[in-house]
Amino acid sequence: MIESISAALVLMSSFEVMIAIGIGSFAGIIFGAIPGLTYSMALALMLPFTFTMQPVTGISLLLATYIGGMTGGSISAILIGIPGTPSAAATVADGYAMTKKGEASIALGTAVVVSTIGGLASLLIMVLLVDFISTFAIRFGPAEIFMLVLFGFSTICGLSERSLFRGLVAGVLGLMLMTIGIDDIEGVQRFTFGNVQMLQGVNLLVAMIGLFAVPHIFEVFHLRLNKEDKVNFDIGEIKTKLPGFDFIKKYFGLMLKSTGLGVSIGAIPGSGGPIAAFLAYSNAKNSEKDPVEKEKFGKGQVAGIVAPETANNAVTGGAMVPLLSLGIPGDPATAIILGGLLIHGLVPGPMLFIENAPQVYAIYMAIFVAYIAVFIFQVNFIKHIVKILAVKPHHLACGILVMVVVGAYAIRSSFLDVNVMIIMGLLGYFFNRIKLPVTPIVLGLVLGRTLESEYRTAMSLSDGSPIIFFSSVVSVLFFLLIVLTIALQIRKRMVEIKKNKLIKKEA
Amino acid sequence: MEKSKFYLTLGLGVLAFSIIWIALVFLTIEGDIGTYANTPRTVPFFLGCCMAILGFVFLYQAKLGFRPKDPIQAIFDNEFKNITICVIFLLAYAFFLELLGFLISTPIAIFFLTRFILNEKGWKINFLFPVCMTGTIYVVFIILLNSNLPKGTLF
Repeated sequence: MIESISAALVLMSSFEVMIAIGIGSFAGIIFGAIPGLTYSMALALMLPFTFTMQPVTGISLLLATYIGGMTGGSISAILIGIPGTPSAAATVADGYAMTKKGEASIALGTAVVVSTIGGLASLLIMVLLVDFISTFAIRFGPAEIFMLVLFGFSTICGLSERSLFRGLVAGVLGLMLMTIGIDDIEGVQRFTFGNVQMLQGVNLLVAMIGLFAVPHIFEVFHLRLNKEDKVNFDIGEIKTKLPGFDFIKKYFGLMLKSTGLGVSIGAIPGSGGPIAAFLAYSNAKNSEKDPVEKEKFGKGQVAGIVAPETANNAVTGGAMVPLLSLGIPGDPATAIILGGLLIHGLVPGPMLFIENAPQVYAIYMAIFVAYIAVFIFQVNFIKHIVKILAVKPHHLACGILVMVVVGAYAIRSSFLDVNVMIIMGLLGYFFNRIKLPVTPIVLGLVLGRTLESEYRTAMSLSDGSPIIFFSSVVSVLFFLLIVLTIALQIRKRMVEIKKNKLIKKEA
Repeated sequence: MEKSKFYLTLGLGVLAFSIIWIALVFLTIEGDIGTYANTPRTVPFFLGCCMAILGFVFLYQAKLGFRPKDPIQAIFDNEFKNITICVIFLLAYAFFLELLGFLISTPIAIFFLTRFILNEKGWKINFLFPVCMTGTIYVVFIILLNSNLPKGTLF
């Protein structure tokens, strides 16, 4: 272990890794802070450029972008009352109320400190949990892995958006796209129509760029061409005022509870930051015993920033647990990071710790350094960061456009990839318009290969008997969880329908 | 699109897609579904069936009178036109990227985009912005991160 840690230190200490963390953190904060841009988009844009980097450099860039994005969302939530990311939505009520009272600097300082504490605490829990789950998961066979991936997939499709069936349509479409190209096991061509370039199938990176970044470009340019530009925000001079040690003492219990909540929710595939932040907020409000203090929630209560910001940053550590130990991404951002890991030959799962231990420790260190970098940026450069909120959306979209075309083309120097990216972008735009989620498409593409190969390996082992999928306690447990997830979603929808009918009747 | 027709349209669309998909499974992939349900056709066929089931679910929801929670807006004519312009621009930029490489095609493309498509008049946006954007991307990815940017066939 000590050997692996020292090897990880050597990997981490290069100039390129530090620069990657710096750039990733800064880009993440910017994309997180600007309403309309998301850190998933930033990750999708960065991903193709990591292709030629060293594995640790590339992964560090992605992780820093993820962490910067999660933290940056609070900036616009506090300053303009619009959350930069859905995870920061719970921060708006008290954060923006503090800004209106002239306490924006204190609100920003509080958010930065608790985000860093929540993130670093979740890192510690993540290190312990990943190791524990990996030791357990190493005994999984193809049937268990198939059921596990299927469980993760059904949870994400069900929980990521409001409608289970719409999520499933997108997920199945992602799996269908994954089957295009050469079949991994028998080498048979599928849906290639004799085109040699189609043999490699739909490139994951190209699909991610198309689905996450291109629809934004279409939307912004369409609004600009229609002369319906979105507004830009001129904030003026602003500073971050860090709270003192007394603050940490006062809110230590709340931070601890919110971290626990964030890590637990982050570890459930498909839930993520927004749920954790809102639960932590309502928990903080409900557990406040002093009625005067309770009354202050929503009107500029510091605890109303502490709870959601600690929780949504603790989600990052939680979401990395199923990703690194089982290869199941919890949200779009971790799905893109999974794509990054796979590009560099780092296949998440129990074997990752045996085959690539130094890289895993380097990833842990990169997360730690990224939190420190994000903290430094937000404390020292906030007045420059907020100036980006004043840039017109279509000017930012020009930069994004360059990145998407260059990124898609640079992967294989293929014009076909640009075409595929545009098709995926049109699909993403159309899906956004008809309110179908795009995240399950990416998850279908990411998890599809594992799902098919484990299914077919299990079927080969059992001579075609599907009983193999129910032959162990673990696979039966995962199967029951899949049924439970679907049943709960259907029940939830039925309750909503009944409620609506009652309301209509009463009206 | 009327609210009440949403699930009907979605259901029919999903069902039509699944039928085409299943037909392609049998027409374009070699092999059989197999004794052990374990051939290259198995998973695509199963996915096509899943999609068909989901299509029927949406049709059933339409029959029950389900309505989407959020209103779905129709795609307007000018939206179609504007997106077509964007797509043509993306393709043209990619074409010139292949031909001229990143350093030459990018400032020209951004100039064209800001001046003629986005209708910006200021010299800073038309001239300084494309050069700064290209320079920043070059410095970040080539000099700092040691990554690659496309080289053209001519330059």
